[in-house]
Amino acid sequence: MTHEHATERENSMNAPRNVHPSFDLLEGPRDLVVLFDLPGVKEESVSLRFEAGQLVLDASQSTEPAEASWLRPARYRATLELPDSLDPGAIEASLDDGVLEVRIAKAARAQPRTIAIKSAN
Amino acid sequence: MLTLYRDWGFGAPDVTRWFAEIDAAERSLKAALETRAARLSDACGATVRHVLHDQDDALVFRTELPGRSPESVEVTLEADTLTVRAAAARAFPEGYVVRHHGRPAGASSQRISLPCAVDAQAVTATFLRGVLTVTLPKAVPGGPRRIPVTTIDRSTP
Repeated sequence: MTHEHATERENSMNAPRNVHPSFDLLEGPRDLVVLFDLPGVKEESVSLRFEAGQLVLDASQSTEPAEASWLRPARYRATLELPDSLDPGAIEASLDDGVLEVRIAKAARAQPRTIAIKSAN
Repeated sequence: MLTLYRDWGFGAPDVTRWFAEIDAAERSLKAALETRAARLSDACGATVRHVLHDQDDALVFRTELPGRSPESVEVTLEADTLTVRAAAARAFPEGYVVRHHGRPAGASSQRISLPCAVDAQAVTATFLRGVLTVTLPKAVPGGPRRIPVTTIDRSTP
């Protein structure tokens, strides 16, 4: 019984903390950029989905011994509702210095267009 | 406002222009408020997560500084105080409108009083994936020290 309790306590001490990551949302004429702060997270521990107009992020901090001096590693989870004028097929994501940059292109119909003027002649 | 245009024959009011002006005013007000909010959050100082870990032979200080480059982080050790300064994060690219600003972007400074003496010459710092790790070997290795107990010979005066 005592041992079980000890294990339970140990597990709760090492269990990840659920964290909503800080983010910035930028809108350009042709795309939308979302920047998430994910310090201590490796590329392979990031799961990113875009479905039904929602961007869903799930990422975990590294628990390798060399990096695991956090008492409890963070698990970052976020769901962002994005405008439906985006092209779900054109998403790029990169992780650099603990910041995940997600770039989603706007659908062709939402991008600025230059209309050529035809001559009447 | 409408009274000015009572005589419709003189010139109908350009309603679309009124709306465009209202929209423009709303946009500039929103932009001003966002800039103010960003400045306020920077001025208040972001809560930087850090931990000081005692690893028997060394103290290990770790702090999260996402979006900073190793060149923009300065680590100094003076007596028993460790100071970590980080410059402001990179500016946003041009041509983008900030719709939400939640990441701490301002410069930060952390001062940590160390609980024991460290070997200043042996301190190392690494920056990986937005996490700064400073390893400070202790000046005197810790660990339990056995104190020998001597007996006092009561027979001697």
